[in-house]
Amino acid sequence: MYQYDQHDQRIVDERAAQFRGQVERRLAGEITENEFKPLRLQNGLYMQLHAYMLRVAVPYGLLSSAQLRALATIARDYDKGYAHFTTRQNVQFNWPELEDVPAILDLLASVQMHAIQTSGNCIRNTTSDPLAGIAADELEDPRPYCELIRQWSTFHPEFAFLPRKFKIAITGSTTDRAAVRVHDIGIRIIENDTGERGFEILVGGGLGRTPHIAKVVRPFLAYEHLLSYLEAILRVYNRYGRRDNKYKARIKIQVSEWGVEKFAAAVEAEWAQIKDSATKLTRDEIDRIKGRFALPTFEALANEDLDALALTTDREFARFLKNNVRQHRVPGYAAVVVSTKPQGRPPGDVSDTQLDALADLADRFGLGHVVVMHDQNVMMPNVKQADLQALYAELKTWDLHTANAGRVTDQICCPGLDFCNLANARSIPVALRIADRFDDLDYLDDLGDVTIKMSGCINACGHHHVGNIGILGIDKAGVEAYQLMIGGDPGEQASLGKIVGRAFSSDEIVDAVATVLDTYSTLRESADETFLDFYRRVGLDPFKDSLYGSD
Amino acid sequence: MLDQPFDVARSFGSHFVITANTTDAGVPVYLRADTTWSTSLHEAHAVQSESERDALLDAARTQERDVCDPYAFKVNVERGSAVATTTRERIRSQGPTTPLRRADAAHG
Repeated sequence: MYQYDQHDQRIVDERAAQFRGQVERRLAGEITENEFKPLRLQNGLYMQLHAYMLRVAVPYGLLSSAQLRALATIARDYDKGYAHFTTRQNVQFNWPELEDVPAILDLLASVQMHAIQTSGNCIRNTTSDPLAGIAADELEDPRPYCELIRQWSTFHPEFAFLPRKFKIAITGSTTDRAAVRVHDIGIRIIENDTGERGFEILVGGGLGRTPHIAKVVRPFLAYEHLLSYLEAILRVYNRYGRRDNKYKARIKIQVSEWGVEKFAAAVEAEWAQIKDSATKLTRDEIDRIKGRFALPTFEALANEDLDALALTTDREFARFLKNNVRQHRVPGYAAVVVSTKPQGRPPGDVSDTQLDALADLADRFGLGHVVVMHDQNVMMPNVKQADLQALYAELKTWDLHTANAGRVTDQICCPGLDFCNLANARSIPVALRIADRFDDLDYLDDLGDVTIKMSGCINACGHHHVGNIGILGIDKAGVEAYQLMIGGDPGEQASLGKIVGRAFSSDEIVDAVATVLDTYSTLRESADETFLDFYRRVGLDPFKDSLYGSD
Repeated sequence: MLDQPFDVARSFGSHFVITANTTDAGVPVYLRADTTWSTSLHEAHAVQSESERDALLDAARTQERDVCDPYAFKVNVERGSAVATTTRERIRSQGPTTPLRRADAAHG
């Protein structure tokens, strides 16, 4: 993983010291909340319903065991004993007290972490593929480019006050596990017809109030122009993006209103003036960044016969092998999805003791690091296949062994109205009831990969638009209600879910999900037809019929 | 509801109360009749007129060293106590309705 140099360290140390002074002045009454608010937000400190919430950046989701232990310490000493993994691969603490936040930032800085640009109308954490660096279908590891973007965008003086927040995602694989098509900018590492390595640049994707799938703004960009081209896009957005209406201020609205051709022409014109300026990358600079990644050293191993192992072992572990273990490009290794979603637990929440356990297990079995996944699980990316059974046994003692990765109960779920100041309805209690309802693991395996994604408001932190089954909490005259949508997909064939019909009450929504799943299970052509394939073949009508009948 | 002033939350009921979050911990608090703050909604001073509401808001705003972003919302009054009428304010006054992650199954 990337190791800070002296400049990186100085930046986070100085920012922590600066915020300490700002907090002291706020607590002393020397500055008002209105003066303090933009300062705290620039350090990821929100005010939620019950307390402050601190969002900590996890660049492209990568966490060392030392960083996990620091997060465990924060959870234990400054919070209520747990942390929450978010859909943008970050970590949130829901209960810090203001006077403790400077000490938290100092602790984070001591392990090369911070909360800079985790809020506000700036460029946020760049996200990536949890299998980055180890995916079999990967052209190139995207993380050095993520890091270049992190360094370029951190405190970028032009882009501190954009019309709205700005999110970038990168993948180096043909399979899109980073949801690049629903980001403000999506970047795919590709090769052109002559075999030259570069990037496809997509722009204008996003969820929220007005969801859009990103459009290709440049089919091929040579690697050395990555930052200058991003700068050109940000300049066009910063100058012409709408600031008159918060709900129309994201770049997706600009791209939609202008059309991608006009937008691309404006970017190309801007880029022509800066493409050979200081942001032009050299191979030396890329190699310098790559050199600061302490990449793991793999042993020369042969692949184990995991299929045979699954046949000879107990059912629980066999299910774990089938659902939670992913292919690794290096023979003899595997990536393990550690589910944060056992029955009865809010998705994404992990206790301090579990964080410490993950750190220990990462050191013992995972070459010292983990990856926060955008679906709120944690991946242990470098596990020897021969260690899988021992790792599973350890995970089980920490309630981190649930074999539901990709299954119905592997739900994405925002904090909702139990915590969030923006929410209209609760989401966690609905997720818990869904997990309770679908506790038959054989039934879940029979259904196969079906994603449920749930948000407590239109801002869509729970990515409901791109869930195979999406649930949106709404406020219907003071009463929580839930809209159901079907057919969303964040991947290569990205699609937005469609609302099935009238919203359901809180009492009805779990039965409605069950009806949707039963409809699929009953009418699919074969067990091989996935939920999404079924929906794309038959559309909404069978679901409408089973949900509403002759309503 | 939409014609309510900016610092009156979308809500319904017969009375107004004033709330804020504390500066030190962000805890929801409610303005008493003597303009001190309570963590209990039941102790909030509930008023009916907009002029009383605005006077209370003005009093709250003089305390912005101790509290953040005071605002008014509507409640009903039952047996002399303010009772929240929206899910948001009910959760805000009583805490999350979900279990917190703290307790681990195996290692407590």
